[in-house]
Amino acid sequence: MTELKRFFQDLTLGRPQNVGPITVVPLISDQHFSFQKPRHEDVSNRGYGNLMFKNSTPDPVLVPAHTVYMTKRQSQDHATMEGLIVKKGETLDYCKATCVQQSTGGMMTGSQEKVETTLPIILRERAFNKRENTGDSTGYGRLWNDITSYNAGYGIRGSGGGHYEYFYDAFEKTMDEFVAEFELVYNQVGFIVFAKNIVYGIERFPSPGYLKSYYRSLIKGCYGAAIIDLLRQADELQLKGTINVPVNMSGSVRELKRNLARANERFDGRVKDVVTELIFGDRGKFEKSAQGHQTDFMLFENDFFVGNVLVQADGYPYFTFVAREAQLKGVRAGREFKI
Amino acid sequence: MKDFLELVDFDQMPDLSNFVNSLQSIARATHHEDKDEVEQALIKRHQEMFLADRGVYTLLLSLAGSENHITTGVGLLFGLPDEGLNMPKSLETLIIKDLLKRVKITQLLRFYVDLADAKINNNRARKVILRSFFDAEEKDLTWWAVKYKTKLRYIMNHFVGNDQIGYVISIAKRYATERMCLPDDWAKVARLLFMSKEIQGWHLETIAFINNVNGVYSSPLFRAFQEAKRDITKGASLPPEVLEGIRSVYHPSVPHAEVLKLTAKSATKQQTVRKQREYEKAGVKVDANWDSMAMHELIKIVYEWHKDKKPLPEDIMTVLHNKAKKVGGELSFQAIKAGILVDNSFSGSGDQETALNDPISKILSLRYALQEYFHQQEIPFVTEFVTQGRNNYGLPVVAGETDLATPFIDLVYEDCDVIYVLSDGRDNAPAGRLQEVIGQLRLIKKLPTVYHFNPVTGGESIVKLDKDIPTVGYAKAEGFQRTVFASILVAEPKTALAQILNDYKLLAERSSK
Repeated sequence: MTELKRFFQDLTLGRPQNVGPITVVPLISDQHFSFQKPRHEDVSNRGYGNLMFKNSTPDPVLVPAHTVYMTKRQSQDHATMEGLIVKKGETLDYCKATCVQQSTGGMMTGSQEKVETTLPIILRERAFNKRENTGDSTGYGRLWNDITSYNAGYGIRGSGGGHYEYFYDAFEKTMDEFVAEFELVYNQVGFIVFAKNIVYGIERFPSPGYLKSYYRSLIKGCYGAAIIDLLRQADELQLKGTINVPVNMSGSVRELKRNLARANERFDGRVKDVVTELIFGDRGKFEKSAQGHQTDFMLFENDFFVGNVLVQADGYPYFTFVAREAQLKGVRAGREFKI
Repeated sequence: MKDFLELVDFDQMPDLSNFVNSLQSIARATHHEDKDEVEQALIKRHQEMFLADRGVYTLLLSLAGSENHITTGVGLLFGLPDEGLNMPKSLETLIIKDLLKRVKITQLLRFYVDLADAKINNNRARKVILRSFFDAEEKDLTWWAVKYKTKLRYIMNHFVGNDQIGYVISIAKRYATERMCLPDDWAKVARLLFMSKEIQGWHLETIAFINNVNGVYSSPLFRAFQEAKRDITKGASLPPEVLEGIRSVYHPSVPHAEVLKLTAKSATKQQTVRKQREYEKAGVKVDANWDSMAMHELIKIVYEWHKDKKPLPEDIMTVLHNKAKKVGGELSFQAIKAGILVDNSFSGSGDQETALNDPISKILSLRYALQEYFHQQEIPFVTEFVTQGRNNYGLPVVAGETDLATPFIDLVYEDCDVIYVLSDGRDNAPAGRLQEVIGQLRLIKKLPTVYHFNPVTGGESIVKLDKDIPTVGYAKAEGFQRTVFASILVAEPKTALAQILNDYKLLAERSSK
């Protein structure tokens, strides 16, 4: 059995930030790994269901799980199904990618302008479950039905089925506003996102610089999609801070200063307690594990999360754990998982 | 003129406060909105105010904090010459000319090209635009001619008009090739170009040059342009990008670095800063003159050079300090003890692609100006930061969550009677905490006077700290008093607008003399 806390040895929790129902807790570490993000001009494909990553950087390259590359209808948009690394000077020919734009054809070239984002949280569990290419003629389209039903859930009825970009285009503004609310702190390498006592995801990256370069793609595409879900359920959920700790009424400035510090301390402490319980309790224990597409990666799953971890001799430069759909449906239905 | 303002029903006008705040915005992407959204919202606001009262709208344009607002506004005035006109047209034209003087040549040319594309060509637009070029100094017009040849030709052809442009070019061509021009032609061309100054030979040479006439030019820049095609070293006085164009066509074997070396003296400050890496690679030492740059632009450069681990230019901080003293000297605030709250949280780093470090640079520029003002007035002050720490060039780090409440209560605790909050106004640790603290201070009657100055002013409504605390959006520290004047305008619109109107009346009198 593997416990989540194994991956947290060098991590401490930063001060929580919250807006509406969502709270983000920074993960801080002074242990940094020299991985780089793929340069967009080094991403291409040679066929449907394929993505090629050239490493033209002086370091190894990490491609995070469920990254989507969109090309504004110049070629078919594709997504990765798990984390990947590309060694220095090498080119990775990844044949288990999926198409996320059903009725657009064409190959992706390095010179095409690309938008990088991440699959919405609900599609990430489905991508985890369908990470293997079944090999039949529609293997590269194995997320199309999921995307179609996902879009339909939001009333998006674009023609041609599995088009992730319909969702992205429809909600980009809301997702942008959401991402702008959260800010990076010193030595931040990752974060935990939670709402209504449910951990939505836990993300760790090799270095603060890497996180900064990928932050927008991830928090907008993956967790920004979650906020849309929560906003749709606003009446039921009563949008407000997840943990509301007001400042006690004060009769003087001195007392207010003291009460403010206490309220902030209580707020931070309670958030951290909740998060610690959520990830280090039973929910953070994994009976099932498997090897990823590359031997450097391990895959984990339990009733609550699916996860992808990059294992190196000196630590865990990258991991991602996202909540299963059933957990999120609990939030959607207004049920809270009390600790 | 007095009557025009007397007749305005300010209760029926759109919200002046929102419009005046939005006039300080720069229509480009922020950490929170993309460029198109900002632009569309900006245009909509202009149209609403224009339709409500053209005269008030025209006077308000004088409070514009950025060039985008001026061109948007003047575009409306040019495009609808008589729609709702309620002040003398000559006065409106004077205001237009005054506004256009504040727009940089690159943006001005883009604006005129847009007007030409929109087929705007009325008598007033023709007169103002052609005169802005042909009444200019020789060094300016000839420089623009070599640098923006195609745009200038397009603008001139459009505003002179199809029926006359052939004649003007033929006269100019004859002058440039044969040095011949009859006095009647000379005078007619001057009339067609609406010139108020006497026409000179270099005016005709300029027209010939932008129309690609292979003449015998006396203007040194036009000669350099021609001779550089044979010998690249003759083009040292040309703008770098113009000589680079000549190099790539006529001297492809000469390296690009040679162009940088030759034109180091003619490169503008912005070019030397923007292409610093290229100049260094080519082994060219360039002297940057920082004086004409705004304070926040200088601060952005310091952040960028710190990131690139480049040595800090010796004179930049001195220039910044002198500018802060000058801008601070123009401010006017009353306080017994002032508090400045600087929001240097992560969102101060702005849009990572289009406006990196824009908000924090604007916040710091105003902070320096305020501090200088308090020094000059001998008003004690305290400055608090949202995130502690400085980089080794002395600038605050830009990182972390936004907890405004803690430094705010520290300033109150320090007995500051006026607090200036310089922030994008997004409190997230936890959300809304500052508002809660302000509410409690109000209840116990200990809330100081608070001003919120917000550098992030997109097309959408500006983010406020609290509904009862005045928020003023601003685009730069320079001219900040004008921005504050704008907030007075919100409280006393008639008085403030009458003051602007009076300023323009004085300008009109001076111009007529």
